[in-house]
Amino acid sequence: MTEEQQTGSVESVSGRVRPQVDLFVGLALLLLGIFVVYHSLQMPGVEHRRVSAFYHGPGFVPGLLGITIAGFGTIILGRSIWEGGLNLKGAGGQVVDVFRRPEPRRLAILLLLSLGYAWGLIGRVSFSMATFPFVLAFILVYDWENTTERAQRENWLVTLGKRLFGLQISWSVFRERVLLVVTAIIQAALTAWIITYVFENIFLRRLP
Amino acid sequence: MLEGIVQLFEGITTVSSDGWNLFHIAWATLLGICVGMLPGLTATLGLTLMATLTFHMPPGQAILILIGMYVGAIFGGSRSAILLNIPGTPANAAVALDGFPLARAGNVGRAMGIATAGAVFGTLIGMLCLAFFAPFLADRALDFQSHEFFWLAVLGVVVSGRLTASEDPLKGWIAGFIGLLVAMVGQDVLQAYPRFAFGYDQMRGGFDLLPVLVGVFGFSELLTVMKTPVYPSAQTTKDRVIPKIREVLGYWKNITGSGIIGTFMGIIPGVGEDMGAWVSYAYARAISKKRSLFGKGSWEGLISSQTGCSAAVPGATIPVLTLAIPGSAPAAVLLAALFVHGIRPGPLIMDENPGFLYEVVAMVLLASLAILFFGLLLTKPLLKVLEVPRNRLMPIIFVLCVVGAYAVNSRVFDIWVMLGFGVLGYFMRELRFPMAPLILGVVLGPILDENLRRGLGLYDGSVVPFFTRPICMGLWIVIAITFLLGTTWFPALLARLRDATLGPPRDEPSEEEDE
Repeated sequence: MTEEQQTGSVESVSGRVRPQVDLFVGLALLLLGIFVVYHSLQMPGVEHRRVSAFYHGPGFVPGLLGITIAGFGTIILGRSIWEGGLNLKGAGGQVVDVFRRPEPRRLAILLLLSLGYAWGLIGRVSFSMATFPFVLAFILVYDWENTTERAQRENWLVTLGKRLFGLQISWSVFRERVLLVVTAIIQAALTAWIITYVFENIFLRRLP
Repeated sequence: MLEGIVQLFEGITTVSSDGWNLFHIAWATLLGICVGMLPGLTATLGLTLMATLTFHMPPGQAILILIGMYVGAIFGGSRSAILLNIPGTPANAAVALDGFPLARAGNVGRAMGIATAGAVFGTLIGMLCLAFFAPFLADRALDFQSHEFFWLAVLGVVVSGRLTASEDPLKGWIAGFIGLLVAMVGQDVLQAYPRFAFGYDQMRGGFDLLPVLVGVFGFSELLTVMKTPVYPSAQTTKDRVIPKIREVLGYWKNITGSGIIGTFMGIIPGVGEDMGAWVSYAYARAISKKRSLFGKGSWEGLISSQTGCSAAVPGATIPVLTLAIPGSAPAAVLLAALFVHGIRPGPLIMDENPGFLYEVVAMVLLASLAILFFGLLLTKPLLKVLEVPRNRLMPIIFVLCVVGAYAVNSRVFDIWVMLGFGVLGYFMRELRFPMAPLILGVVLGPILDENLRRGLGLYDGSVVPFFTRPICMGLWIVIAITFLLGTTWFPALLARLRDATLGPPRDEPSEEEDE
């Protein structure tokens, strides 16, 4: 396995996007261009307005843009094939490697939270009732893992607990987590209330 | 000329004589500095959110607040660049190159002071160009008709794509053309036919610019920031922050050169502040006698890059006011806000509303004074902004993104648009597509569409005037050269032709000599 393959991201070590990734980008652009051209041709002409010139039709400019994007897609596709983009050996393993790293997990959680908030809550319950659980969940999910690290930091309370009562680190972790939940609830409530109040009463904007 | 100077003083007097204006510029600039300082919050996002908040305000005050936010955010980004080596906004990436090594060497305060001086002088040079060059450009722009506006739209996308994606210009152009395509969604300007609506009523109106901007610069940035590890803690300042006047004046060549370069880069549609900083940095390196220090802690590099990116702010407002074409992504928000408030920017601005241009100049002047004040006197309190935990801040930012997208038209559909473009923007960033041409494409799409069809209609479908009218000729030649220079084969062909006619360059050291 080369060094480039070991990096397991969309970029090669040189910082450029891998030709294998560009292969799919080029293909997607080509398909997008064809789709746009097809729909542009489906748009009605303007004969009914006694204007027969094709350039007055609504599909003229989108059609040209579709052709251009398809052309760019073809260039990317060709370039990717030239640089060895068709060599997909080991690509499956690399994709699996990418999903094992923490970044995609953090990204997926954020997408889930934000889409759940915007699609699932906004418009269905009042704005503040939708915002409170979102902010609370966001802080808990992303800060939970930091509580262990924070608890391991030596401070006077941890040292005193250890010396006087023989309390171990787990107690500190528990304390950090209780603190996190309490402060997250306070922040979520304040965020929901302040944003609702400021937008509705000071900036006179309607909220969803 | 004399009339212009009188109007300039009138504008300054009008804006600065109102106490509320001074109050608004102070808090907006301070907020802008805080937004710019925080990695993950860009000037574009700050302006977009602020634009949605200022809808109900009088136009003059709303634009004043947006200018303060714009100038402040571009300046604020240099703080995190110097202290953390993480540019607060993309515009400050060049500042980090020398700012961070200088801070690490124990010059934290001095580096911030010099950067502040650079930002103030850069903004002032850009402001002077805005005051004296914008009326001239507006006058010239009266000669522009459909054919010229079509080429101007193409030029914006092509040049922006080329300059913002120097590693792979093709991706810059693709981003620009995707932006143009996005602008095609909804009713077309001439026939009112709902394009690409697929039967959905909400799609008939097309995509509003502000939700797209919040998605591309807000939500996608949030996805990028939350994916990466937590940024390191900032360094503290112990040395002197306020620079000596003689020391700053010692860099006059860097300041004037970078100020002019930054303004010019700001004027080019869609190129903006980051290119202003990079080109100024390259200029400083070229004229410096201490080139080896660049990238390791050069004062010239620091002041030039900061001057360049700050000068691009007033530079980017020049085409906004005179051509209704944004010079950068934040300037696109400014343009949208002008339309929302009923101000019609464009070639006729000097006829219809000449005082407004000079009021904008006065707003930039006040904002530059505000960054001078806050940048030098509030250094230590402002460092606290960098200590705000990211996990606590980002959910609030997302809620503001949702509110900001919704507040434009009070449509839940705009929240979905924001989310969709946020995800699209995230993947495009990951695949190294620049975002500025995408946004410029969305802004220029209707201009390109309308003027191409009108231009063809005026001459019975003939494309000849598009190539033979004098201004058109200049524009399409620049576009063609930009395209050709963005390919791999054309520069190679030029080099081969040069070698064939003049022989290989003699002063190039051989590899053995280097070793």
